[in-house]
Parts: sequence; structure tokens; C-alpha cells
Amino acid sequence: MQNSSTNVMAPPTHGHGAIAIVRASVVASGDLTQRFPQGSQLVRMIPGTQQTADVLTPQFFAVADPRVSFDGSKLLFAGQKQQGSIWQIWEIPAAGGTARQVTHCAVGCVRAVYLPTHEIAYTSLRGVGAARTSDVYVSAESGADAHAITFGPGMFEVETALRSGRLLLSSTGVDGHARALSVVDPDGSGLALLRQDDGAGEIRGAAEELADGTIIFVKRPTSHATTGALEWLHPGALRAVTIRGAESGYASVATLDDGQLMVSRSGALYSVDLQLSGRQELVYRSAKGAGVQAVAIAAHAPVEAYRSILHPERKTGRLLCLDASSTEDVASGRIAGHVTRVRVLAKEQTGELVLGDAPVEVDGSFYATVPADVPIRLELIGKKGEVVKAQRSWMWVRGGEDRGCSGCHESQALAPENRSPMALTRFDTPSSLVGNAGKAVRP
Amino acid sequence: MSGPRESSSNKLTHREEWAIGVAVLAMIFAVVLMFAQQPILASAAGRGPGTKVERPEAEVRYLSPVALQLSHDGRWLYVVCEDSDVMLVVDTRAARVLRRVKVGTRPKGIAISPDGKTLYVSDETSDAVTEIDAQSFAVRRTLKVGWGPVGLTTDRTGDVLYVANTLGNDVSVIDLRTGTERKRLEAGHYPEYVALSNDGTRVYVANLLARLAPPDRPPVSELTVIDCAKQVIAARVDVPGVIQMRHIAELPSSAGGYVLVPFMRPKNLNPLVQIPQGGYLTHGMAVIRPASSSADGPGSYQVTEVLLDNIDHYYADGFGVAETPEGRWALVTASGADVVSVVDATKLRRLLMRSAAQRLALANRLDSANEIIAERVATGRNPTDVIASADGQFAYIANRMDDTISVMDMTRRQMVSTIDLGGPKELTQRRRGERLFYDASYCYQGQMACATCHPHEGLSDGLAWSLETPQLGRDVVENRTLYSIAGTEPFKWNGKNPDLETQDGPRTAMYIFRSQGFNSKEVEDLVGYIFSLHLRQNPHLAGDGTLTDAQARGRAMFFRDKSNSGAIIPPMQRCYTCHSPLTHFTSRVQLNVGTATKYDTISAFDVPQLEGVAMKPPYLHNGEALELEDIWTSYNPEDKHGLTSDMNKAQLNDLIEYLKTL
Repeated sequence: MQNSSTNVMAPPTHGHGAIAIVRASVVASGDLTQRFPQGSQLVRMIPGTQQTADVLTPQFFAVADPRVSFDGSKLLFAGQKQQGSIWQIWEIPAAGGTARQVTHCAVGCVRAVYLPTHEIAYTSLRGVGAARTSDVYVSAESGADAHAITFGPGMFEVETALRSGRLLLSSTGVDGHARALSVVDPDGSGLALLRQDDGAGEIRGAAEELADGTIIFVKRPTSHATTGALEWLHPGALRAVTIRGAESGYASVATLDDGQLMVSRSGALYSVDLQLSGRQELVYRSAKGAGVQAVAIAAHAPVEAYRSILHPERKTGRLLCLDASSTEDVASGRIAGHVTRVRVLAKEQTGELVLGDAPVEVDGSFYATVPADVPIRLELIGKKGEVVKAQRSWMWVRGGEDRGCSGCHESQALAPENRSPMALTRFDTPSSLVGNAGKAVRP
Repeated sequence: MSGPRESSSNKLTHREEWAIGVAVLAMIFAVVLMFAQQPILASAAGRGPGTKVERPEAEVRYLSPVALQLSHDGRWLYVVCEDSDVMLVVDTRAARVLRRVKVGTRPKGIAISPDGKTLYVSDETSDAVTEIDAQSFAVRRTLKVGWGPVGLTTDRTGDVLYVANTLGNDVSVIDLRTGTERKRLEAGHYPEYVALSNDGTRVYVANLLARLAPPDRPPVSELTVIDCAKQVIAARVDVPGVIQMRHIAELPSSAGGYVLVPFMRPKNLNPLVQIPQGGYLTHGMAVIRPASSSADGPGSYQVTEVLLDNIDHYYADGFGVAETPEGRWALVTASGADVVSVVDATKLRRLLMRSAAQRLALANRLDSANEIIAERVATGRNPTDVIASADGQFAYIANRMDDTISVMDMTRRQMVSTIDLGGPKELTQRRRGERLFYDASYCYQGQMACATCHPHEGLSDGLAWSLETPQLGRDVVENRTLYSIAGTEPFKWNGKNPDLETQDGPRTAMYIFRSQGFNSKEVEDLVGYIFSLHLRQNPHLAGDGTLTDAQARGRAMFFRDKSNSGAIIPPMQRCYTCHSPLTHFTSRVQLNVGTATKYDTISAFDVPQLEGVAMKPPYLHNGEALELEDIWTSYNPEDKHGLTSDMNKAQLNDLIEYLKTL
């Protein structure tokens, strides 16, 4: 793997393996369903040339987000049959053929990835305009047994399936503009920020994982921008860095079967050789339309199959925090003052519902049972009842999930102390915060 | 004085066999009544260890290099191979094996005399050290040492050899002029590796396991310091929060003179649900600034713990460590990650110049490795020892699981070649399983391998772990040894895993590794390997199996059916009923022996097998009993754990002496 100083250069063309690209004459920013107002096509490239061969999706007005099955035999993509119709997830043989509709979403489904064990994950849209939200669903490859694994609010989108079997998502933050990368288990448990290095207004997406575990993605300056910088986060690094020479103009990145990257820059597609100091070679540029996305049509190593330990029949999950005072938000790494309770609030249509308080022990630990599959956030309460620290984002637990955390927005670089949390030595915990007693609604 | 010796402890008299038979029948009846609701019994009873797993292919002998030394001129690399009982002589220029020198059984460590003319190889299972002429490679003599010798070093004169005896928890001080043991010094818990300080005044001893302590406290390990002039223990330096300290290196004084010892830093008191959040098992090294004088006490040693892991990527099971001669680099092998980390000693020193509080915080920092690691370089499988050449040009790394040596160019800090030591090329089932056992890549983020918690080929790490759901913080259980567990199903303290395939397959994947885990074929291989693990020697039992007087008296206590008052002991209160010698000294059921605490959600626990029991303290399901005697004197007030309240001190001592022979 190259280090962060790898330079991206740009001389032209060379051969490559089988590739399919998404070609569009016009690319728009904003809503995922409005990306290609004049349509788009999935086109197969002629290996070793800059020429395109057949259009794989002649029946579609617009297509996007192609993915290849692990055995290389099938293509999954988001498609719009006619202009204005609903985007759905479709699948075709990689060699071409009749498309099979996988999803039947009411508002629209985009950005799908293959999972092992014959499942897929995809992004399901809700609402329109300013009320647009999205969640991530998992279903069988057939489309059956679709179920949500994110529980907003916000706009969750599938980025990619990581080799560990986890899903890399992107989601809007509290300001509704910034988009951060998160990791979640395919059963919806264990949601966590990939890194706590999100800058205000930064839009992170189009993310892929390289063979060594590096996450590479496009960081757009605003939600209105269609291109941005190419950044990567190396394994173990605290923060992502911009790849030198790739500060702007990038729309997408894909991994190729030979370990190279394919990037979309200024309407053209380039392969990037990471072993040769980021040397770029032109793969596609055409007056017929911009190459905005690419995918290698080849078998590739499946990601790990994730084994869920949830108990879906349970309607609650549990939160165990080892030290609520541990935080990265202040220089000392610890919240000033004495935290005595943690308050759990659930998001409702009209505001927030106070589910209740649980005691915080002197070692900072707390242990509470909360409702499953609803957006919740936490507030730390001081001795006088004051809110010492309030969580700004929303989270959730799944049924039967035991969600552990080391602190409240704690440093990801800090391993927990080795001690028995005092909250677990009590016999009246986990505090049940699932009942209706004492609930209050905040506007 | 010992009296007439009894017959082998493994042979039972007719009366004992009859008594066992009656007792077992009684126990079976009682147990069936007690556990009629437990389907686990039926499934466990029908499964034998040999039904699914093939016997290991004993005829295939791998080399398994574990220890390295270089001749002073760097021409010869001496490689100790634990599975073939040989020391190989490798020509470093030709990169090939020149000689095979037969040594004792299960060699583990190697030392070279100050003049470079003599080599000493520790033979763990022989309780001996083989002395070899470094020019002719002839074996000169065999030196008797303590139990389970591993690490060894001479002093600066070359007249004294210090040998760490793992099973004896001590260090043999050998007078090399006479070849006799001058004394034994008490070390910490399971001393493995030793090193002579650069100034020759001290010998450092790294202890693999933490001191025995209550199970609800973090472990504290010990670096034992020996004063070479007086040949006494000079200091017992606490290394808090860590276990599994391994090899030792010392940077030159120009680079700070720090003593480096790889370790594992567990979070066993946190619930297992923390694994997905990371930081549950961390790996790094103790960086110890020695006292200025060998006579100074432990308070004069400054201990800093530095993690070598990254935020979401771990370098499990640090093992070997070496410094380049000028002190520019330190090399630490991660035996579970197949990586050697190259530490920039200058940056390390800078890190250590922080305030005391900041240095203390390094113990849990997962970002400091980014500051001090210059390279992560891939090695062969399961890298163990590492050594740098005297000119600082090359480093050699022993890859235990593929019988090779990785050669690293320290100028470029890249691997330049691999020396094939000539081990068998076929992979037996046992070897495949062994490879899996040491491989941390199967765990989420590479946090741990099987060997991480079962070091030294299946030993228990001696810690109690908060493993259980559904009630977090309850049912904290002591880790158990993997020695001689074939035929002792079911597994886990609650007996819920009917076989090892269940334990090491889906359950390990789901709850411990938090990953896809091993596939079914891999599980089969792994189980085959684990079932092949045995305590290699029992120093408490005479070679011919005869018992001492005390051991014989203890056996009588174990098999007694009458109390001291002459009353008949109910079958369920006899030792041998539940710890039946017919079934590995376990009855393979779960029984309530009154040891449950208020933090346990169950009261009946799996009856542990007693083979090798002396080697696996602490005891009871939660590790509360630090020594065998505590089981009866502190945790058996109502005689639920066998009738022991009538035993006097001498009888308990005898009983312990017998149990140690198992």
C-alpha cells in the first residue's frame, strides 16, 4: 500500500480486464433519483481498448451503482425503466441478458451491494424533497425477506460491504448536510462512526475498501457538488487524508480485479496503479457521455459471512457504557463534573420522548434496557439535574443487542480500562427504560 | 526420608475398582435424577473424541523454529526447533542449513557463551540444558536444571548459566565450571525468557503469566531481576495489567537503555460484548528503564506500557524482540499476525519523554504505534524469535509454523529472502490445526488467536473472563487449560457445549471472534490439534509412576470411602465419584458444589478434569481458589465439594501431593 503522499499522475491508456461503466450525458447533484436527468446506460468496455461494446441495459432510461457478484456472473444495479418511474434494484447476467427486478420499493431503491449467503443490502428511499430520508435494507437476492437495518432519522446509504462482513454506510449528520462514514453489522447492530473526523459540511461517499483494508472515498465540499477530492483512510490511521494530486474533480472510485483502482474524473475514467506511485491511465473518455461509475466484471473474494447474535423476537436491547465521562470532545478526555444519571430520549414524530434515567456509577458505567429499533439519544445528567453533555446524533439498538461502548463520543484511540463496570455489579440493573412511567415529550 | 514407594498411581486395586464401580453407579443414578432435564448429557455421552477426528500423524515431524542465536561473526545462525529436538546450524551467506545437532526433548531456548565457543540449548521436556561446542557442534554434556526450562543466558564471565524453569516457577543458577546447579531463585509465575543486561550486572526474567490474584482484579505480571554479582533476586518489577511477557531486549544506553518486553494486555474484566468496539485484547511491549544499580529495588524501575496495535487493526501475540546494535531500531514479532513491527527507537524515546501521566496513558493508547512504528513487515507463519546481526545489516526471524527463517535487510527494512529449514512439506491435520490455533486473522480486526488466551501450547492464561450473556457481568469464569481435554466433554463451565466442534466453531465465531470464524474443515483440524495437547511432563510424578509416601497417603484420601471418624462417606461426597479416574478424573456432568456466588446465574458447574491440575491454578469456576488447598479450606464450608472438613492439615497436604501427580 502506498502512503498518503502517493501522487496521482495522468499519462494515457493501457489495457484492463472486463469492465462495465455507467455512462451519462448529464450528471446532476443532489437527490440520488435525479442524478441522471437525461438518462444513463450500463455499458461494457472492450478489454484493452477505450472502446465500449454493447449496452447492457438497453431497456432502462437510467441506471447507476453497478456491482458484480462474488462469482463474477451477475450484475446488480439501480435502474429506472422510464423517465420518472421508480428506481429499483435489478440484476442481470454479467454476460448480458434479461434484467430481473429484485426490489419493489414504493419510493425508490438505489445503491445495492451483494452480501454473502445470497443476500443483498440496498438503500431504500422515503419521502420527497426536503422530507427525503433513506434507510438501508437487507433482503435475499430474490428480494424476499426485506427488512430494515437502519432506523434513522437521516439518510443512510449503502457504500460497500467490507471484507470483515460489516457494511460501510454513509449517513447525514445532525446538520442534515454533512455525510459521514459509519460501520454497521449486516443485522443492523453495532452502528459506529468509521472515524470521528467528520468536518462540518463534508460529504463523504462513493467509498470502497482496498485489499489491505484501506478505505478510499470521495469527499465533496458540499451536497451540491458532483465531484470532490479522493481521500483514503489507511488501517489504523486516525484520520483520512487527501491523496496528493487528487484534490478535486473525482466522482467515483472502484476497485478492479487486479488490485488497481478505477476513478471517474472530469467525465473520464482512469485506472490508477497504486504500486506505481498512483500513475493514472485513461480508460474511457467519449463524447457520448461521461463515465461516472465503473465496475470490474470478474470474480472476487467474498466478504466474510457475518453471524448475527441478535434475538429478533426481543423488543428491547441493552446499553452498557464503561465510562460515560470518557470523551474526545474536551482536551482532558474526561467530562468535567460529576455525572450521576444518563437520560435516554427517543425520537418521535412530534419531538422527543423521555424514556427515563438510569444511574451512572462513580466509575462512569451505566447499564440500561431500551426499546429496540427506535432512534434514541443520550444525555448525561449532573448532580443538580443539569444536562452535562448531550448526544447530538441518533442511534439505535436492535432486539437482543448488547451494545457496549467505552464512553460518550470517546476517543477511538483509547482502549478501555480493564475493570468490572460497577453497573454490572448491581442487581437492579439493567435499568429498564422501556416503560411509559414518567415519560415526557419535548417539542 | 521417603519410605517404600507405592505402585503406579494409574493402577487401581481390586477394592478401589469395586468401590469406584459402586460409587459411579450411585453417581450416575444421582446425576440422572438431578439432570434429567438436561438433554446435553445424552448428547455428550454418545460422543467420543476419536469419532470424528483422526489421530495426529505422529511420524511427520516438523521443525518449528522457536529460538535463534548468531555466531559472533554473524556467519552462523543457530536455530532451535522444538518439534524435532534439533538445533540447526544455518550458513547465513549461503542461506542453507549446514548441520543438524540433536539435543534434548522439546528444545525451546538458546544461549551463546561470551567467547562464542559454546552454545546452550534448553530442553523443556528433558529438564536439561544441552551444552554444544560451537565449532565442532559436538554435544559436550547435559546439564540438569529445573522443571520445564525455556529461556537461558550466561553471565558476562561465561561461568554461570541462568535458566528459566517454566513449570518450576524458578531460575536455575548453573555453575558451568562444574556443571552443577548452584541454586534456584524463585521467579514469578511461569518464567519463560531471560536476558543478560547490557552491562552484565543483571539478568532479566520475563514471566508468562500474571501473579496469582483475586479474579476481579486486573493482572499484574512480574519482570524478575537477578543481581549477577550476588546471584540473588534484586527486584520484582510490577508490570501492571499485562500477561504473557515474552522475549527481552535491551536498547543500548545511547538509545536510552530501555528494556523491551512484548506483552498482551487483556480486558478480561470487561464484558465480552466489547470486542466489536475494539481494544478488548491489546498487544504491545513494556518499556522499562532499569534502575541505575543492580542493587536498587523495584521502585527504581520505570515501567511504561506501549501498545503496538492500531485503532482497528491488531498485531496479536507479541513474541520476539530484538534491537539493532546501534539502537536505531527495535523489532517485535506479532506471532498471531505474521508481522514484524519495526520500532523507531528514537521516536520511542521521544514518546517516553512525556509527563508521567501521559506515559501512564500510553498503556491504552491505540494511536501511539503510528508514532513509533516505521514499518510493518510481513513474515512467515507464526514468527517467534528475532535476532539482529552484529553489524546491524540483517535481522532473522524464526517462522514456527512454516519452518522457515525470514531474512530482513535492515537498511531497507524489507524482507530479502526466506531460508527453508527443510521441514516436511506435507501438512498433517494436526499441523493445519496448529496453524489455525496461532492465527489471529480469524478474529475481527485480528484481536486474538486461540493461542492468545491459551499460551504455551494450550496453557490457561490464569484469568477469569466476563464472557457470558444474557446477563452481562454474571457468570465470570476462569479460563481452562486445553491439556488432555479429549474425552472430557461437555465443555464450558456450564457444560453447554456438547463437543469441541461446537465450542470452536459457531460459538467462537459468534461470541468471541465476532467473525465468520473457522469453516467446518478447519474446525475439524483445530479440534484434532487441541485434542493432541497434553501436559508434556509431570514433574511431580516419578518417571516410573511410583508414588512417594505422601502421594500414596494422598491417594488413599482421594479414594477413601470412610471419614476420619470411620463413618461411611456418601458416594457423592467422595473425591473419586465426581473426579472419576475412569473418565479423566471428571464425571462430565455439572454439579453444585457450593461454589456459586451471588454473581452466578447457575449453581452447577462442569466437573473439571484433574489431569495436570497442579499446572493450572487458580481453581474453581471463577478462579477464586488461588491454590488447591483453598478449595477445601476456604470454599467448601458445607462439604458440598466432597467431605473434606474432617481432614487435618497433613491429610490435605497429602491429598494435594497426590493430585499433583495426575
